[in-house]
Amino acid sequence: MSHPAGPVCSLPAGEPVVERLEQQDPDWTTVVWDDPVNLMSYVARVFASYFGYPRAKATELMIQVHNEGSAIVATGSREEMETAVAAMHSYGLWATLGRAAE
Amino acid sequence: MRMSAGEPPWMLELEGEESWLLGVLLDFYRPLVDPDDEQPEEPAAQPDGPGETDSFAFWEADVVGDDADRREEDPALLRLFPDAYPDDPSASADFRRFTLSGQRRERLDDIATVRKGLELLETGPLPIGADDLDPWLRVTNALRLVLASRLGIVDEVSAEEAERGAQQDPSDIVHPAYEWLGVFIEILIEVSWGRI
Repeated sequence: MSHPAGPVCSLPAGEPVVERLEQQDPDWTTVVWDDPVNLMSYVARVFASYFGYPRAKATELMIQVHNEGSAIVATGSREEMETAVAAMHSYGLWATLGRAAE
Repeated sequence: MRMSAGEPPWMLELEGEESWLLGVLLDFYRPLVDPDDEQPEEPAAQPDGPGETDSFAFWEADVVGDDADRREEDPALLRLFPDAYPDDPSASADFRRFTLSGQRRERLDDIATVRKGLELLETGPLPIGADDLDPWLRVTNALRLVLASRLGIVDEVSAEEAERGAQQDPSDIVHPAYEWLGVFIEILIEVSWGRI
Protein backbone atom coordinates (compact mmCIF):
# COMPACT_ATOMS: atom_id res chain seq x y z
CA MET A 1 0.00 0.00 0.00
CA SER A 2 1.27 3.43 -0.80
CA HIS A 3 -0.17 6.92 -0.84
CA PRO A 4 0.47 9.34 -3.68
CA ALA A 5 3.31 11.69 -2.87
CA GLY A 6 3.15 15.48 -3.21
CA PRO A 7 0.26 17.94 -3.20
CA VAL A 8 -3.11 16.88 -4.46
CA CYS A 9 -4.82 19.10 -6.99
CA SER A 10 -8.25 20.08 -5.78
CA LEU A 11 -9.46 21.62 -9.05
CA PRO A 12 -12.01 19.58 -10.91
CA ALA A 13 -10.58 18.02 -14.02
CA GLY A 14 -11.60 18.99 -17.50
CA GLU A 15 -12.51 22.58 -16.83
CA PRO A 16 -9.89 25.20 -17.69
CA VAL A 17 -9.33 27.77 -14.98
CA VAL A 18 -9.61 30.68 -17.41
CA GLU A 19 -13.01 29.55 -18.55
CA ARG A 20 -14.31 29.32 -15.01
CA LEU A 21 -12.98 32.79 -14.20
CA GLU A 22 -14.80 34.21 -17.19
CA GLN A 23 -17.98 32.49 -16.11
CA GLN A 24 -17.85 34.41 -12.85
CA ASP A 25 -18.43 37.66 -14.77
CA PRO A 26 -21.54 37.29 -16.89
CA ASP A 27 -23.56 39.64 -14.72
CA TRP A 28 -23.49 42.88 -16.65
CA THR A 29 -26.49 44.48 -18.24
CA THR A 30 -27.30 46.95 -20.99
CA VAL A 31 -29.77 49.49 -19.64
CA VAL A 32 -31.68 51.81 -21.98
CA TRP A 33 -33.19 54.98 -20.49
CA ASP A 34 -36.27 56.91 -21.47
CA ASP A 35 -35.77 60.18 -23.28
CA PRO A 36 -38.27 62.68 -24.68
CA VAL A 37 -36.87 62.71 -28.21
CA ASN A 38 -36.36 59.22 -29.64
CA LEU A 39 -39.53 57.93 -31.27
CA MET A 40 -41.09 54.86 -29.67
CA SER A 41 -41.15 53.02 -33.00
CA TYR A 42 -37.48 53.84 -33.53
CA VAL A 43 -36.46 52.49 -30.12
CA ALA A 44 -38.39 49.24 -30.73
CA ARG A 45 -36.85 48.94 -34.20
CA VAL A 46 -33.31 49.25 -32.76
CA PHE A 47 -34.03 46.56 -30.15
CA ALA A 48 -35.40 44.27 -32.85
CA SER A 49 -32.66 44.74 -35.41
CA TYR A 50 -29.64 44.82 -33.06
CA PHE A 51 -30.61 42.12 -30.55
CA GLY A 52 -32.72 40.10 -32.99
CA TYR A 53 -35.79 40.30 -30.74
CA PRO A 54 -39.20 39.56 -32.27
CA ARG A 55 -41.33 42.65 -32.78
CA ALA A 56 -43.54 41.84 -29.78
CA LYS A 57 -40.61 41.56 -27.36
CA ALA A 58 -38.89 44.64 -28.82
CA THR A 59 -42.10 46.63 -28.40
CA GLU A 60 -42.60 45.33 -24.86
CA LEU A 61 -39.08 46.47 -23.87
CA MET A 62 -39.68 49.86 -25.50
CA ILE A 63 -42.91 50.30 -23.51
CA GLN A 64 -41.04 49.34 -20.34
CA VAL A 65 -38.41 52.02 -21.08
CA HIS A 66 -41.18 54.56 -21.64
CA ASN A 67 -43.33 53.65 -18.62
CA GLU A 68 -40.69 52.80 -16.04
CA GLY A 69 -37.93 55.13 -17.16
CA SER A 70 -35.51 52.38 -18.09
CA ALA A 71 -35.26 48.73 -19.01
CA ILE A 72 -32.59 46.04 -19.04
CA VAL A 73 -32.47 45.04 -22.69
CA ALA A 74 -29.57 42.55 -22.56
CA THR A 75 -27.40 40.63 -20.08
CA GLY A 76 -23.94 39.18 -20.59
CA SER A 77 -20.23 39.63 -19.96
CA ARG A 78 -18.84 43.10 -19.47
CA GLU A 79 -17.21 43.02 -22.91
CA GLU A 80 -20.45 41.95 -24.61
CA MET A 81 -22.43 44.64 -22.84
CA GLU A 82 -19.87 47.35 -23.68
CA THR A 83 -20.25 46.36 -27.32
CA ALA A 84 -24.04 46.54 -27.02
CA VAL A 85 -23.98 49.91 -25.22
CA ALA A 86 -21.68 51.35 -27.89
CA ALA A 87 -24.10 50.09 -30.55
CA MET A 88 -27.06 51.67 -28.74
CA HIS A 89 -25.12 54.96 -28.62
CA SER A 90 -24.44 54.75 -32.35
CA TYR A 91 -28.22 54.58 -32.85
CA GLY A 92 -28.70 57.56 -30.55
CA LEU A 93 -30.23 55.64 -27.66
CA TRP A 94 -29.31 56.64 -24.13
CA ALA A 95 -27.74 53.41 -22.81
CA THR A 96 -25.51 52.55 -19.87
CA LEU A 97 -23.90 49.46 -18.36
CA GLY A 98 -25.26 48.07 -15.12
CA ARG A 99 -24.72 45.10 -12.83
CA ALA A 100 -27.31 42.35 -12.86
CA ALA A 101 -29.14 41.87 -9.56
CA GLU A 102 -27.72 39.05 -7.45
CA MET B 1 -41.30 62.82 -49.32
CA ARG B 2 -42.40 59.48 -50.72
CA MET B 3 -41.08 55.98 -50.18
CA SER B 4 -42.19 52.76 -51.82
CA ALA B 5 -43.35 49.87 -49.62
CA GLY B 6 -42.79 46.18 -50.22
CA GLU B 7 -39.51 44.36 -50.76
CA PRO B 8 -36.23 46.30 -50.88
CA PRO B 9 -34.82 48.26 -52.51
CA TRP B 10 -37.22 50.95 -51.43
CA MET B 11 -37.49 53.94 -53.74
CA LEU B 12 -37.11 57.26 -51.93
CA GLU B 13 -38.22 60.57 -53.39
CA LEU B 14 -37.63 63.92 -51.70
CA GLU B 15 -38.84 67.37 -52.62
CA GLY B 16 -36.11 69.83 -53.52
CA GLU B 17 -36.44 71.74 -50.26
CA GLU B 18 -36.38 68.50 -48.27
CA SER B 19 -33.05 67.50 -49.84
CA TRP B 20 -31.80 71.02 -49.24
CA LEU B 21 -32.83 70.84 -45.58
CA LEU B 22 -31.09 67.49 -45.04
CA GLY B 23 -27.94 68.85 -46.68
CA VAL B 24 -27.92 71.92 -44.43
CA LEU B 25 -28.46 69.80 -41.32
CA LEU B 26 -25.60 67.48 -42.34
CA ASP B 27 -23.32 70.51 -42.74
CA PHE B 28 -23.92 71.38 -39.11
CA TYR B 29 -23.90 67.81 -37.79
CA ARG B 30 -20.57 66.76 -39.26
CA PRO B 31 -18.36 69.08 -37.15
CA LEU B 32 -19.98 67.67 -34.01
CA VAL B 33 -18.80 64.22 -35.05
CA ASP B 34 -15.42 65.22 -36.40
CA PRO B 35 -13.51 67.59 -34.08
CA ASP B 36 -10.99 68.33 -36.85
CA ASP B 37 -13.81 69.92 -38.81
CA GLU B 38 -14.90 72.64 -36.41
CA GLN B 39 -16.14 75.09 -39.00
CA PRO B 40 -18.97 73.90 -41.19
CA GLU B 41 -18.49 74.70 -44.81
CA GLU B 42 -20.78 77.35 -46.15
CA PRO B 43 -23.60 75.36 -47.70
CA ALA B 44 -23.77 75.87 -51.44
CA ALA B 45 -26.76 77.86 -52.56
CA GLN B 46 -29.38 75.55 -53.98
CA PRO B 47 -31.94 76.80 -56.46
CA ASP B 48 -34.72 74.75 -54.88
CA GLY B 49 -34.14 75.76 -51.29
CA PRO B 50 -35.37 78.75 -49.36
CA GLY B 51 -31.76 79.98 -49.50
CA GLU B 52 -31.73 80.96 -45.87
CA THR B 53 -29.48 79.28 -43.32
CA ASP B 54 -29.43 81.85 -40.52
CA SER B 55 -32.14 79.99 -38.66
CA PHE B 56 -29.61 77.26 -38.00
CA ALA B 57 -26.85 79.55 -36.79
CA PHE B 58 -27.75 78.65 -33.22
CA TRP B 59 -26.69 75.09 -34.03
CA GLU B 60 -23.08 76.15 -33.61
CA ALA B 61 -22.65 76.04 -29.88
CA ASP B 62 -19.66 78.01 -28.72
CA VAL B 63 -17.41 75.13 -27.86
CA VAL B 64 -13.65 75.11 -27.47
CA GLY B 65 -11.02 72.95 -25.87
CA ASP B 66 -10.52 69.22 -25.79
CA ASP B 67 -13.17 66.57 -26.15
CA ALA B 68 -14.06 66.43 -22.45
CA ASP B 69 -14.53 70.20 -22.31
CA ARG B 70 -16.46 70.20 -25.54
CA ARG B 71 -18.81 67.54 -24.20
CA GLU B 72 -19.51 69.39 -20.98
CA GLU B 73 -20.18 72.63 -22.78
CA ASP B 74 -22.36 71.21 -25.52
CA PRO B 75 -25.36 69.13 -24.45
CA ALA B 76 -25.72 67.85 -28.01
CA LEU B 77 -22.32 66.15 -27.77
CA LEU B 78 -23.24 64.66 -24.41
CA ARG B 79 -26.39 63.29 -26.04
CA LEU B 80 -24.51 61.85 -29.04
CA PHE B 81 -21.73 60.36 -26.91
CA PRO B 82 -23.25 59.65 -23.48
CA ASP B 83 -21.45 58.22 -20.46
CA ALA B 84 -21.56 54.41 -20.36
CA TYR B 85 -21.01 54.17 -16.59
CA PRO B 86 -23.19 56.81 -14.88
CA ASP B 87 -21.58 56.30 -11.46
CA ASP B 88 -18.01 55.69 -12.57
CA PRO B 89 -16.31 58.58 -14.41
CA SER B 90 -13.07 56.64 -14.74
CA ALA B 91 -14.76 53.64 -16.39
CA SER B 92 -16.74 56.02 -18.59
CA ALA B 93 -13.51 57.70 -19.70
CA ASP B 94 -11.97 54.30 -20.52
CA PHE B 95 -15.07 53.29 -22.45
CA ARG B 96 -14.96 56.51 -24.41
CA ARG B 97 -11.26 56.10 -25.17
CA PHE B 98 -11.87 52.64 -26.62
CA THR B 99 -15.05 53.38 -28.54
CA LEU B 100 -14.95 57.03 -29.63
CA SER B 101 -12.90 56.67 -32.80
CA GLY B 102 -15.11 53.81 -34.00
CA GLN B 103 -18.24 55.80 -33.16
CA ARG B 104 -16.95 58.78 -35.08
CA ARG B 105 -15.90 56.71 -38.08
CA GLU B 106 -19.29 55.05 -38.28
CA ARG B 107 -21.10 58.37 -38.05
CA LEU B 108 -18.88 59.88 -40.74
CA ASP B 109 -19.52 56.84 -42.97
CA ASP B 110 -23.27 57.27 -42.38
CA ILE B 111 -23.05 60.96 -43.26
CA ALA B 112 -21.17 60.09 -46.47
CA THR B 113 -23.86 57.52 -47.39
CA VAL B 114 -26.65 60.04 -46.97
CA ARG B 115 -24.72 62.76 -48.82
CA LYS B 116 -24.18 60.41 -51.73
CA GLY B 117 -27.89 59.61 -51.65
CA LEU B 118 -28.78 63.31 -51.74
CA GLU B 119 -26.60 63.73 -54.84
CA LEU B 120 -28.35 60.84 -56.57
CA LEU B 121 -31.75 62.20 -55.54
CA GLU B 122 -31.09 65.22 -57.74
CA THR B 123 -31.53 63.01 -60.79
CA GLY B 124 -34.48 60.90 -59.62
CA PRO B 125 -35.79 58.45 -57.02
CA LEU B 126 -33.11 56.82 -54.87
CA PRO B 127 -33.13 53.04 -54.41
CA ILE B 128 -32.29 52.20 -50.76
CA GLY B 129 -31.32 48.57 -50.21
CA ALA B 130 -31.75 46.66 -46.94
CA ASP B 131 -28.09 47.29 -46.03
CA ASP B 132 -28.36 51.02 -46.71
CA LEU B 133 -31.37 51.76 -44.54
CA ASP B 134 -29.68 51.87 -41.12
CA PRO B 135 -27.24 54.65 -42.09
CA TRP B 136 -30.28 56.75 -43.08
CA LEU B 137 -32.01 55.87 -39.80
CA ARG B 138 -28.96 56.65 -37.67
CA VAL B 139 -28.29 59.96 -39.42
CA THR B 140 -31.87 61.26 -39.38
CA ASN B 141 -32.24 60.26 -35.72
CA ALA B 142 -28.93 61.93 -34.79
CA LEU B 143 -29.99 65.12 -36.59
CA ARG B 144 -33.24 65.02 -34.64
CA LEU B 145 -31.39 64.55 -31.33
CA VAL B 146 -29.14 67.53 -32.05
CA LEU B 147 -32.08 69.72 -33.07
CA ALA B 148 -33.89 68.69 -29.88
CA SER B 149 -30.87 69.64 -27.84
CA ARG B 150 -30.72 73.05 -29.53
CA LEU B 151 -34.48 73.49 -28.97
CA GLY B 152 -33.92 72.81 -25.26
CA ILE B 153 -36.03 69.66 -25.26
CA VAL B 154 -35.04 67.66 -22.19
CA ASP B 155 -38.42 66.32 -21.03
CA GLU B 156 -42.10 66.27 -21.92
CA VAL B 157 -42.66 69.79 -20.57
CA SER B 158 -39.87 71.42 -22.55
CA ALA B 159 -40.96 69.44 -25.63
CA GLU B 160 -44.43 71.01 -25.36
CA GLU B 161 -42.90 74.44 -24.76
CA ALA B 162 -40.79 74.11 -27.90
CA GLU B 163 -43.88 73.16 -29.87
CA ARG B 164 -45.89 76.11 -28.51
CA GLY B 165 -43.01 78.48 -29.23
CA ALA B 166 -42.86 77.26 -32.83
CA GLN B 167 -46.60 77.78 -33.26
CA GLN B 168 -46.25 81.40 -32.17
CA ASP B 169 -43.40 82.04 -34.59
CA PRO B 170 -44.41 81.18 -38.16
CA SER B 171 -40.91 82.08 -39.42
CA ASP B 172 -39.27 79.39 -37.27
CA ILE B 173 -38.02 76.51 -39.39
CA VAL B 174 -36.14 74.60 -36.70
CA HIS B 175 -39.11 72.98 -35.01
CA PRO B 176 -40.77 72.12 -38.35
CA ALA B 177 -37.45 70.52 -39.37
CA TYR B 178 -37.49 68.53 -36.11
CA GLU B 179 -41.03 67.34 -36.83
CA TRP B 180 -40.24 66.56 -40.46
CA LEU B 181 -37.34 64.35 -39.37
CA GLY B 182 -39.75 62.51 -37.07
CA VAL B 183 -42.09 61.77 -39.96
CA PHE B 184 -39.17 60.69 -42.16
CA ILE B 185 -37.94 58.29 -39.46
CA GLU B 186 -41.43 56.81 -39.04
CA ILE B 187 -41.61 56.13 -42.78
CA LEU B 188 -38.15 54.54 -42.88
CA ILE B 189 -39.20 52.24 -40.03
CA GLU B 190 -42.62 51.43 -41.41
CA VAL B 191 -41.42 50.31 -44.84
CA SER B 192 -38.59 48.19 -43.42
CA TRP B 193 -40.14 46.45 -40.37
CA GLY B 194 -39.68 42.71 -40.68
CA ARG B 195 -37.80 43.03 -43.95
CA ILE B 196 -34.29 43.59 -42.62
